[in-house]
Amino acid sequence: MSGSGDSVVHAYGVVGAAEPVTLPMTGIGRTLVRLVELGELSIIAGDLPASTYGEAAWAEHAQDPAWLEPVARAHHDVLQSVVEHSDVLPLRLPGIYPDEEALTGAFTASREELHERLRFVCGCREWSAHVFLSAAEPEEPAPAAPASGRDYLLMRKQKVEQKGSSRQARQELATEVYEGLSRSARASVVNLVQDRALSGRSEPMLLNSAHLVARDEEQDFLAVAVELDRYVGAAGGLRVEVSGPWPAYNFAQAGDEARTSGGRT
Amino acid sequence: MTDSPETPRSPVYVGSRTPAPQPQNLADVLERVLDKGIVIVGDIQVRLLDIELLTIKLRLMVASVDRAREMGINWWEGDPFVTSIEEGDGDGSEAHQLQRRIEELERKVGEEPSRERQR
Repeated sequence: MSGSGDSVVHAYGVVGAAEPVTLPMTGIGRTLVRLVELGELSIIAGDLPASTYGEAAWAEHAQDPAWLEPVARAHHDVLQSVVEHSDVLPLRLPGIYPDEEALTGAFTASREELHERLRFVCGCREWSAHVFLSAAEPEEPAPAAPASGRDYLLMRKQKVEQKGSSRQARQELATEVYEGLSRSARASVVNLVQDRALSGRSEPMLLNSAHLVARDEEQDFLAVAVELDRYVGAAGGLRVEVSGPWPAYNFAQAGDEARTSGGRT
Repeated sequence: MTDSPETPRSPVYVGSRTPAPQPQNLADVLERVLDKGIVIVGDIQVRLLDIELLTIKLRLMVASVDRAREMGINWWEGDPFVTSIEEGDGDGSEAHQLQRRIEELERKVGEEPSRERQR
């Protein structure tokens, strides 16, 4: 299975061994997915052909979105189907090990941390929030051509100032969204906003955050999101979009969470 | 809305007005699997650290262009994969246009006062 030079072991994530886990049949490159037992933990893993997914392949193709996208999606799909029913600690890519011995060695060395993080995400899933500016800024009718260079600069200055204040107001609304959602979450984190090239959206993104939400509090969280969306939509033309549930990627690594709120009020 | 058993595989997108077009945004997936998640370092991981280049590139694409510029990084200029960042980017390009316009005006005023009106 593993251990020979023609295959590597890929680790998807970690689950508690006591928890019943429903694994998907296949993962990256349609290879089988299995559990590697490690005391109280189980590693979700699979054997991949070294020629297509080994170290050299990563070194060669990792910058190529056409190669990377299916690998990333397949890795995520495995974790996504597990998180539907059980807690899982997702691993970051690339997650390959030369053989099962190397895999268990590395995970045994990190056992404490894995236990601690699994406890942290226990009973929770991740929800993502994006705040977009929903409409393009209203364009004013073209003003009369400036009579002089000084007029031109004055006009520009006024326009920039106006823009600055509305931008600040929007940023404050986005912060309110984050704080509102955080109150319904166990932990929350703010990420850099995605640029349009990445998000594929024409509207600018004002907030990109992730929230760790208890499974039985997800409906409340969504209700808060809908309410906040209505509020910032009316107040500033913003839109709140929430997606989930995701495996708790943003809370898997210690120290990633910016703040652990005291949970709900 | 979401009180049915969760849809397997894809996170559900909950936009209260317009559902997002794609069921699963690639940016959201990449951001997570490349930049989040726990890292358990083995021998290969140590050697693969070079590949973090990719993460850095992604991170920069995710970061705002303005911030990257503050950091003095402008590699994306000329990179077809990311040039669309520049297009229609509110303030960055406006500031550029303004700067260009000022330079143009300065040139006209300074060098060729006689040609200030061409029409």
